[in-house]
Amino acid sequence: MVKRDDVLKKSEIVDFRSPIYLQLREVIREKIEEGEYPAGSAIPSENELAAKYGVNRITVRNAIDCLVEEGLLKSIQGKGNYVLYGGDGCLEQNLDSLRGFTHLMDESRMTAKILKKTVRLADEKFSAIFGIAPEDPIHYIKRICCSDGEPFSLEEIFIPKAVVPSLANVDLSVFSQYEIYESLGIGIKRAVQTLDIVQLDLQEANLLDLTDKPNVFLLTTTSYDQNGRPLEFIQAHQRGDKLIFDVHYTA
Amino acid sequence: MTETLYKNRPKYEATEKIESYIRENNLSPNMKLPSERDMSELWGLSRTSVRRAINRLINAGVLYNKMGSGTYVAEPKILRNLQNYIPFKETVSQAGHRFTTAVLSTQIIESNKQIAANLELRLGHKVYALTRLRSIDGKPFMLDTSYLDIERFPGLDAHDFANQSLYTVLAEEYHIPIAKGNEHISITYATEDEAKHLETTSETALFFVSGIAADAHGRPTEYAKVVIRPNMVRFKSELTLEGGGQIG
Repeated sequence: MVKRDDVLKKSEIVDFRSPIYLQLREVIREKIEEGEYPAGSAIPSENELAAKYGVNRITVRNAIDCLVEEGLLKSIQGKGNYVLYGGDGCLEQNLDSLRGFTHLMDESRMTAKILKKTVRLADEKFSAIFGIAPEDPIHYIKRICCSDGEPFSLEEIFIPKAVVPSLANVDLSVFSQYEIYESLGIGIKRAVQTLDIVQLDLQEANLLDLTDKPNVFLLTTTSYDQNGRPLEFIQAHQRGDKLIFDVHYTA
Repeated sequence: MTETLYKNRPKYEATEKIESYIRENNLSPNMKLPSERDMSELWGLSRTSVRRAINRLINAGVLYNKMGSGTYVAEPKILRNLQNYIPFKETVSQAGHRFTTAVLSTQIIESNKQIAANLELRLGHKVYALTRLRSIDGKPFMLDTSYLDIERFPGLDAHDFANQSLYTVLAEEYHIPIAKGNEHISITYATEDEAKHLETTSETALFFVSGIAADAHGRPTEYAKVVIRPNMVRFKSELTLEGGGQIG
């Protein structure tokens, strides 16, 4: 049983006399800090860690629980334990408030399927959006988001490579959009969203399990850092029969 | 270190090229795009790709087609900011357009379950129902019905809401300004009646907005049901992280 007091005393010196789970906690923490377990990726499974360090799984679980509580790891049911960036849990809360058009959906039931994750040239369109040269590289991610296995959103994400050099270690099928940025340490300060209704191509409609040129929401988000530099541009085509947007305003 | 970059699919490449062409050449609304053939030669893309891109942009409301005459740049949509609640009329005037209101019907009705629940009234309580048609430069784009408690606002039905703003009347004559609100936005399809008023075909996709506006104490004051033509309006929301503050 992990006592909360133990968990919160992060500054306490852990040495060979300390409980094993605390020693293991420090081992995992160091590997996160040194980048062996990079932000956005899963750490080895509990069984693997137990075998590697010759401890039982409960000890591993206790060590991981400490790091989850600290906000350094995030446990995802049936998937594993993922490294979050920075980690006091504060950023996530702030970013939650960044959502303008909140959709009334249970995020815990969402999953994403990556259709494309690649690097391309910015070309004219994205050079204008990001204020970079047309020949600068940008990340391009295309994914389908599902709720309870049913597709509801087709998303295209564009991020200049200068903002995030590599997405190699980020599992984009697990994290919600804001958790991705959090895990990458991207400091979003401001976001502008627009909401349209557009008609989808048949080809794209099929990806959303729709037929017959359907009308869908197009939610476009451009996010900026504190200097007004655009960090990412997202176009999400979302099924109108699955989503309702919720907006609050004050006069 | 060299790496092979992903080559955008021709259909998408052509779409981006057209969007950039409009911006870089400062094409204004209702100006004509070059022909399919010229664009295909200009960018070294097949005519099929260019045609598909044009269709995509028509579907997205960026371009429109005139039979036998070519492809044109569509009027930009009115951006309605949802965070800072500015009356639609002001947003439209600021964009340099003329906003007009026609009153289609005013009635005093008994609240049904939906109206009663949203205004926190008991079933059958009398409410004032005001239906208005709004136009931009004479083109109808929005049809909205507002429901208000007539006991709370006696004499409301005597006003001419073609020329007076509902919220101004609430604030100035009843001393109950609208302070905040909550809206749900979804997609609906025009009924025959809505299509007739909005001068479109039935089954056209429309924004459906249902909203509750509240006074300073949070008491529900107006319940509204609104349909809006998406080819004329786009919603916008602008957010910052600084102390929940808003951008003007």
